[in-house]
Amino acid sequence: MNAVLDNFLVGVLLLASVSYAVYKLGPRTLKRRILQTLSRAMAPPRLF
Amino acid sequence: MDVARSAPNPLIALVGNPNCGKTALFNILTGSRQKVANYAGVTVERKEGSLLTPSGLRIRILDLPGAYSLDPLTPDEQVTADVLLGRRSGETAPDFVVCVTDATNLRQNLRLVLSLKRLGLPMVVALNMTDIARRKGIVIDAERLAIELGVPVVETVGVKTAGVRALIKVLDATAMPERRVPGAVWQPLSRSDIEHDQAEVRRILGVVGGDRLDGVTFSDRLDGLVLHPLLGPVILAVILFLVFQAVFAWAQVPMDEIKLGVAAFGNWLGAALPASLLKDLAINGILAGVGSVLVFLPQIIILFFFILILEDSGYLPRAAFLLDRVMGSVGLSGRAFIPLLSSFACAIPGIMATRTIQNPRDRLTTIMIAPLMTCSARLPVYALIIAAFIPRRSVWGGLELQGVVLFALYIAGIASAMAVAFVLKRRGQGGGFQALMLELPAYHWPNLRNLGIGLWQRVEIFMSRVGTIILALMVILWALSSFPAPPPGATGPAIQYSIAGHLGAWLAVIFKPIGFNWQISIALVPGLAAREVAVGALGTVYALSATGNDMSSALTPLITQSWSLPTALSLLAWYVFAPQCLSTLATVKRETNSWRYPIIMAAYLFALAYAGSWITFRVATALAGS
Repeated sequence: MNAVLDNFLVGVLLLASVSYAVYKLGPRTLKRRILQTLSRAMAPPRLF
Repeated sequence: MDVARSAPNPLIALVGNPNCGKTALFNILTGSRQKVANYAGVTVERKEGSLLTPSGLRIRILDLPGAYSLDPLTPDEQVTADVLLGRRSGETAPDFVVCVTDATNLRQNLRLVLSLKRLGLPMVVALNMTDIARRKGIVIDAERLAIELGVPVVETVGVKTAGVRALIKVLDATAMPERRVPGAVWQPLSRSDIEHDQAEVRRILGVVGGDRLDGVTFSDRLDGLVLHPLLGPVILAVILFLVFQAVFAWAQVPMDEIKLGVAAFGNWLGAALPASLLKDLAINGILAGVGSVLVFLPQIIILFFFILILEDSGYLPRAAFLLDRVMGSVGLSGRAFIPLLSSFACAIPGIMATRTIQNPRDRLTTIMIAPLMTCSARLPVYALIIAAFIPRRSVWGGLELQGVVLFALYIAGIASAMAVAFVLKRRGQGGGFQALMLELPAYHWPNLRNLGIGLWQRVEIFMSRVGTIILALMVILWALSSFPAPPPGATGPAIQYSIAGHLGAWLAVIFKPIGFNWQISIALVPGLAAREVAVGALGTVYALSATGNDMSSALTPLITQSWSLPTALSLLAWYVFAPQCLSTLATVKRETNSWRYPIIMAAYLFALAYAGSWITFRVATALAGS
């Protein structure tokens, strides 16, 4: 397997696992902050 | 009062006294189309299902917790009252109410019917368990009851479809969305309201029948034996003992099949994937960890199979009654039994269920000892060690030795909980006596459909944990156990040079006096997330510790080779007391509104676990050496 692809796939799995574990086991305030940050990041840019 | 009304599909609430057959009716109405969750902020279970009527109307059905009154005394009754009144946030008020009544106990059930009538919501009464009532010689005139109550009455037998079809017909005709009425309003019952209701119940019963009993019933005769002061506890002990025997004796074949399946999948994966980091993660991280936990599914199914049978047959409230005396002897309220019983599944619902204990000191004591009840997450740990170190042989005339050991571990948990309660109550001033009041339902054969649905829900819960948090933690543990890579020329297993290896070496200093090696020390850390994770963690750590071609070997033979018997017994003793998982400590903080109690709990459990393991290890080592 291509080494770059191999490292990328393992990295993605690891990142997803850490995020899920923090979300699931972390305090509620942290979950709220994560969700707020994600929703801000995914919101469409404001038009002026 | 304005309340949120439901979406176009009408929402029907099933309401009734506890043990009236409401959930059996819910199961037959909705089949497997159910969603089980908790009401927000409480661990009261929320069950919603759906039903397609013959006219094509899709009806949502909500199985509300059992309640005796709309003036709530327990969290269950609070949820029921709040949902009916549209006061529960995130819940829509029902459009229609099906009040399920137990025909064998109409005197008590009619009070709730009269309260529900006061709400003004459209309602139908399901006169349930009519078959048992007839056998008892109770014949109720359903048509006359409908006239007296002013609402439709349908005779049902919760486990059969005939009456249910009639009920669906009524729902089809009356639960259309356009029939919605404004939200319900409830005024707490005054003394005169209660007296009026009691008089009304007597009057209705006099007209429709249902107040005649045929003297001593089969349940009464059986209770004479089951609740006997001497025989009763013996029968309870024998039943529990047989359950734990079956957990080992019956589970062996399916467990072996799962092990073979996991090994075969590992071999296939090993052959299919080229040598890479991803292959190592898949085989030594995910498969070794998740596979180690998955193998315990048959034992969990068998344990809950028996618990559900005991619950469905009406035996569990009898067990509560029998144990009330034992609870009283250590200063606990009889009400503590239900939370402690719930803690055998998981300490979290058990701790939440202590809300029914009115005395604050009793409640706190129950919260503090709830984690000592052997939760289902400990089962994989116990099963792994027992399978590895306790030989499969019969003792005392045919009893499975492994089952005897498992039973002893459960008893050790109960005994230590009672001892801690005794100490806590003696240190405090003690609370006033609170009598245990229980309704003992008539015995009946467990319903296979309910049993199937209950077991399926347990399987779903277990599998979702395996597929989510356990999987995620195994991936993290694999990374911690694989990086940094060993330096050039290193000879030992790669994990020794990793972050987890260094952490394990550090922790091993603390745990060495109780016989734990560095692999066990590492596994204890993710085990704080959930106890069964420790088994998966051991699987991953040992897979990565292995050298050569034995990486995919099963965990049981690996630990048999590398642990001594005193170490295994010490780990068993550790998990009898095991410092709590983080979720439980968070729940204690929420329930006590203070960090003080979760800290005290973690500290005392750690001290007990360490002391218990130290004594076990030293005694076992001395005996092994002599």
